[in-house]
Amino acid sequence: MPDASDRRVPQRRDTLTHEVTDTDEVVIYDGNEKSPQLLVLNDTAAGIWLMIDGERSIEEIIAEILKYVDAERETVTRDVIAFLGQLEQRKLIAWKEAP
Amino acid sequence: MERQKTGYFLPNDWILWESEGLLEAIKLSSAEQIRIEGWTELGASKGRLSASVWEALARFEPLVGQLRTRLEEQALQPLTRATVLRGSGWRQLFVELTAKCNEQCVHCYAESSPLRTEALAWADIREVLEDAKALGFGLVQLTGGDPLISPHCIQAVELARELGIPRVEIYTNGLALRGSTYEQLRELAPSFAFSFYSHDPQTHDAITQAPGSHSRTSRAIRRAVEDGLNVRVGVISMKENQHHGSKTGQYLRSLGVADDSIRFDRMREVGRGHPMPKESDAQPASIQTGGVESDKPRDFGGSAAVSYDGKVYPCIFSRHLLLGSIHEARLETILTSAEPVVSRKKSLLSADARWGDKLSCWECRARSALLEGSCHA
Repeated sequence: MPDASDRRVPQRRDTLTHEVTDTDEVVIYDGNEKSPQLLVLNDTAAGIWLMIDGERSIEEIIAEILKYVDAERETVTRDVIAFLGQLEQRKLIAWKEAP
Repeated sequence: MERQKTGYFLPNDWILWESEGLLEAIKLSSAEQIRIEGWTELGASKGRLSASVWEALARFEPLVGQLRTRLEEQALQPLTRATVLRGSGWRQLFVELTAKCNEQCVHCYAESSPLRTEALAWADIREVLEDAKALGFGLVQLTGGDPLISPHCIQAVELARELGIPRVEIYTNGLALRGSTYEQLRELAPSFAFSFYSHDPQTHDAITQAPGSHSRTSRAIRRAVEDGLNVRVGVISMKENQHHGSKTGQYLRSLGVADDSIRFDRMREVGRGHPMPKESDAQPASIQTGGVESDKPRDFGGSAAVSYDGKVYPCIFSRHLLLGSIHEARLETILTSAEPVVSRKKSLLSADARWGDKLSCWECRARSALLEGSCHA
């Protein structure tokens, strides 16, 4: 599980594809499993997902989100870390060390 | 820890499980599955996903498109014993009038023989047929043993006609289809399904263990066809007749049986039936010539069977799933139980592998997987 002091960079797994819908949700398709896995992310989760580009660290993602939402840093930090934890658990992201 | 899941039946072909933002769905007829995370409660707001999300999901996975269409057309039903048994509608009720048979086939699923004495009483048959009508069964098949041996067979056909049951079929070896029995039945004009095994008399008689049965069954088939009755023939493949499919089909056509009324299936591991050798060419592929395969795709329809001892099962082969007894409750009550069904996706996905040797149709295999946790023989 990641934490606030984590310096690693999250990156999406290669086998995933996604689509942003007209309603700003993100649909993720995982074609690497025996049966298709489909995920629907609401707009907040979608925002975080789209920040995961294999370049930004957790801290940079939090900073980026704070530019667009009216929320306390503490709240955003908690949400981002929790969401990244879920993505990691579902094997949708991997981690690489920060350069 | 496993999530608490709520199951639904979506007529005619889907089972869905929903839990904490997860939707899992299995298409019964093809065993294809999908899993959508981020789902909102089906019960509260079916399809609350926006149209554009549905469209995006369907672009990735066409099966989602099929599911969405079905969700728009049909109401979800709770996964209960009644919904699993009924499926998209009550299609076929088997009524085993008697365990007695004038043959003693080597593979008989019901283990019938001339020595068996169990049989349904007329009062039971009457109630069963009344309930079949009330439930809306499209077809009642009178079977056994050989139903023509039962003293109630003709009366049962008459009552089914009076009640307005759309179709009545007698599944028989035809040995007793003669004299006044035949004359009376010809007037009532039920459908007939004959059991038959080979164009070769010796092979046929060896399977039925009834000398002369080949010629008597052939005669009964020919006469019923000539009199314009609705006739089909079921041929079960086993070691004894494994290479006879093509010639048997040809022989049956020579008796006047229509090509699409000749159905081949392999022996099932029920009663005296035993598994076919895996490496044998007695598998259906070698016997399909001359008929239609009996497991072709269709809607997930409802079936039930009342055995000669009053026990009720989902079908004649599903004797491992005891639903109740007509000696303790009416058939209608047994088949409309709202008892929830607790089933697992894993069990449904392995249904064909687990039940393929016993059950001939995919619906029964799926039903076994769905009901095995709640019904035991």
